[in-house]
Amino acid sequence: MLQVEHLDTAYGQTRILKGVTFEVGAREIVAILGRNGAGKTTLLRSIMGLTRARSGGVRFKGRDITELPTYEIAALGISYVPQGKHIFPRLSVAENLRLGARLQRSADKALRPEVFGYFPVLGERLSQHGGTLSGGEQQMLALARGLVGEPDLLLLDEPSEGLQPSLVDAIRGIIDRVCQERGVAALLVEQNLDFARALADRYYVMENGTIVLHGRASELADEEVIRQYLAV
Amino acid sequence: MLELGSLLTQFLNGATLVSVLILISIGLAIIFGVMGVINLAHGEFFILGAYTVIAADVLRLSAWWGIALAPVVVGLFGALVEVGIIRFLYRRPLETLLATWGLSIVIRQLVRIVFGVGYRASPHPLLGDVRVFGFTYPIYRVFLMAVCVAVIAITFYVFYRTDFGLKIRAITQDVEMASALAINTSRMYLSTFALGSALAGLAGALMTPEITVSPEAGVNFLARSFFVVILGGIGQLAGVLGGGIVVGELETLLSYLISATTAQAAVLVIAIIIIRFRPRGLFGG
Amino acid sequence: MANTITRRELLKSVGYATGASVATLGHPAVLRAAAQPAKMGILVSLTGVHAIFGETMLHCAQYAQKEINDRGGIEGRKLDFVIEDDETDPKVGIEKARKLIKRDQVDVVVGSISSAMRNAVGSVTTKEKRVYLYPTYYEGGYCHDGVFITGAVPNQQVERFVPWIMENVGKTFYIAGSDYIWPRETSKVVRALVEKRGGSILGEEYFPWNTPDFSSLVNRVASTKPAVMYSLLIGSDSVTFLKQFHNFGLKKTTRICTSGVAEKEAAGLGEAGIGIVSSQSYFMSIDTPRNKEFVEGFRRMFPNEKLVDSIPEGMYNGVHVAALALAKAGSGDWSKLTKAVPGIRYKAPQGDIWMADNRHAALNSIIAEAYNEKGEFRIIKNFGVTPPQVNCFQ
Ligand SMILES: Nc1ncnc2c1ncn2[C@@H]1O[C@H](COP(=O)(O)OP(=O)(O)OP(=O)(O)O)[C@@H](O)[C@H]1O
Ligand SMILES: [Mg+2]
Repeated sequence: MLQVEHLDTAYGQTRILKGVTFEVGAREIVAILGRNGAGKTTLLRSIMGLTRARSGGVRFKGRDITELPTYEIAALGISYVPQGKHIFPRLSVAENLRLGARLQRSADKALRPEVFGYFPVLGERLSQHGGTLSGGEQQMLALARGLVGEPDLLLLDEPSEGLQPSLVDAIRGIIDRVCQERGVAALLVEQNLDFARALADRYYVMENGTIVLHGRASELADEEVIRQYLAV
Repeated sequence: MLELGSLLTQFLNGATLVSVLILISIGLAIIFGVMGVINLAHGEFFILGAYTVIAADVLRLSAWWGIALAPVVVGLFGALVEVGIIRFLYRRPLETLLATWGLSIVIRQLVRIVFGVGYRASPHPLLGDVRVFGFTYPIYRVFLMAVCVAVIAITFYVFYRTDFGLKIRAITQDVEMASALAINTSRMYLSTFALGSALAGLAGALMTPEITVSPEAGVNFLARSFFVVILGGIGQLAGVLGGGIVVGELETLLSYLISATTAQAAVLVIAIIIIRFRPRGLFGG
Repeated sequence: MANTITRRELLKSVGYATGASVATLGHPAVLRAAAQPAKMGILVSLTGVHAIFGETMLHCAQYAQKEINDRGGIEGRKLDFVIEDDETDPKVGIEKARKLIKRDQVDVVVGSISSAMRNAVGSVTTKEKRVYLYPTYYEGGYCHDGVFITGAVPNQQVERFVPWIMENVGKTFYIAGSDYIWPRETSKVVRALVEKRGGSILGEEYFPWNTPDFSSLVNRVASTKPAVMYSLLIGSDSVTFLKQFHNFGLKKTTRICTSGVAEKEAAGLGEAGIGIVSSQSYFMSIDTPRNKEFVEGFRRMFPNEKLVDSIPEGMYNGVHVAALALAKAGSGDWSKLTKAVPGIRYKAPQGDIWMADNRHAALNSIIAEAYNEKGEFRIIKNFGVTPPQVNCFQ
């Protein structure tokens, strides 16, 4: 589904990604773990074309998307749920979702009511402005907006960040369900090890812009090495 | 002095100025809101609309043709400018200020070369009066207001009720996220700039019978439009309505009651006071 | 082509050199000067809002230059121009005037439109002791050594005009003007004349530059119903106001009389200009052989110039008067040239004019009516020469 090869990205003179290579298979959930500043967000942005890679490449469904503009990458079926929500604060919940639905490859691009099955709280607040939702609701909205486009691949940047434990569980449940039911693949950036372990099939650990460790998620349970890489 | 007839006339005078100001300012506000571009050549786009009517007259077409063609001509011109200049300057306000200021000089010079430096006139399309509540008022001004109100209403509809408008509003709020939702931002910028230019061009064409048509005339309206946009609250379409009403009606009513020089100064002072207490404009959050 | 010019120029310079050497025998310094061209600094607005007048002013000056050189120059000296653009900005005007005098060493400066520009340029020329000719109609009262004016002052524009209006149009006036000194001073003269003759001024107001909407004024005029709308608005404000006045249908009841509208403004008015009565010292339609020769010659040289009006004609006259004065004085020397200007007579396109002792020109007072949408005027009455009345206050 997604192959990232020797990806190099820099901000100005500072190299952030230094030859990152990994892949996400069909229907697979892959977690990227790493300390603050490791370059995880930069990696997702590079995949989306929001930050341009210096060298290396990204392939999606067999196609080289490294040089494509962001909107075309998105239209191929990649949904990006960025860190810190990034919902449109002065658009209503319904409008936020309608924009998400633009990613659908089906002709009508309609907002299907099933989404409210996953996110009942949003169904009650359709006309409310995004910016007036609570933090948790905003995260729900960001996730819902990423899902209504019926993507083949979800890029999730720390969806559990800053949420109370019950909400973290709820969000984990939703991601799990969606990926199971719809066969969506996901690249999940996380610092919450339990969250990642519960969802992912495989994991990669990033440090200083390179992959330093990878394996099956089940190995994450009592791996001392991982603690070592993730401890602050 | 304050008899009913002239008071009503004065109100309609104000309404004419308000509706034209809003029509010009909307383009300015949309372009700034969506692209972060402060278009100092907006006044020249306005005057290009007027010159479209003059050109139509030279080609022996009626002023109606000129008015109908102006938004197309100026909109296309705006599209060219976007592709040729603005495209390279997105979200770099200082550079766009310089570039559009330079552009305004170039346009004025082009107009001078094509149409000459002198004032130009074309036949009035619709002389005559209508009766409004028993008082007469020039029919063309009523037409002018009606067109402005209709176009403003359509613009609001497009902005708040269509997919195109939704995309524009999304870009205004978070351009990266908008592109991550498969919105082709550079195409949207192109259409936004063309749309803003077209609105200015239409306003200029409509105002041809009421203004001096000369290469330098754009600035008269540009300054007031900036006023309207800042007063209304930058980035707010509804703010443009409020700003336009305040600037236009205040100026017209005050200049009926006190001397025009004092009135124009008073509008400026009132605007500054409002901005002092509402720095983000009348409608800015 | 190049050959003939060279030959003609050669012949000319030989001829002049001979003449000059005879005239200035025993004065080698002057002899050298005489062989050199006379230099005039032409300072006009070629960019900015006054470019609309500046371009034609420059062309008129160039046409005058051609006439002078074709007739053998100034006492045998070729007339050279140094042309500068004041950009419609007095600060630039000051710089350019300094440059013309100090760097280019011109013998005399000619140009400017607005009073602000004239004051700016005049401040430099008087200080640097260089003669300056200002060609535009203005409020009067500018009295500084070495500054001479070939444009009309209020008494020349209104002294004959107002009585004519009161006899032929009506006795109730409404005055509107641009908010600066020329309209305010002119309106004083109008008011005095109107009130002396038993007429009345129903309103008087002034507007800032670039007012986009005059409908409040139109509305007030509509409710006071004067017979005469005396407009002292200028440039684009004049055009905007008169268009709106026309659109409101007020020309049916109130006649526009003005000293602020000439051919250029009328062209911008189109059909809205028809019927406007204006008082100027020159109109393009003056029906004399001298004016025909001027208009035709000018158009031959500048085929794209459709309209000449009183300001460019003042410029043309200014160049000729300056040339005559230079001939009389023999050089650009300040004291000689200052003494040489008064008394100069010139057969101008508008008719005979002369420079009075008060540094202003005696000019013609002409009333004309715009009669078509092209901005052309029909002469109603030519009162002939009116001497300038100037009370120095500037
Ligand atoms: N726009 C930018 N310009 C310059 N440096 C940047 C920019 N964005 C990120 N960086 C730097 O790149 C490095 C990686 O940042 P990135 O956001 O990818 O880290 P992260 O792994 O997502 O961290 P976190 O877990 O805190 O979100 C950091 O050192 C950061 O300061
Ligand atoms: Mg991050």
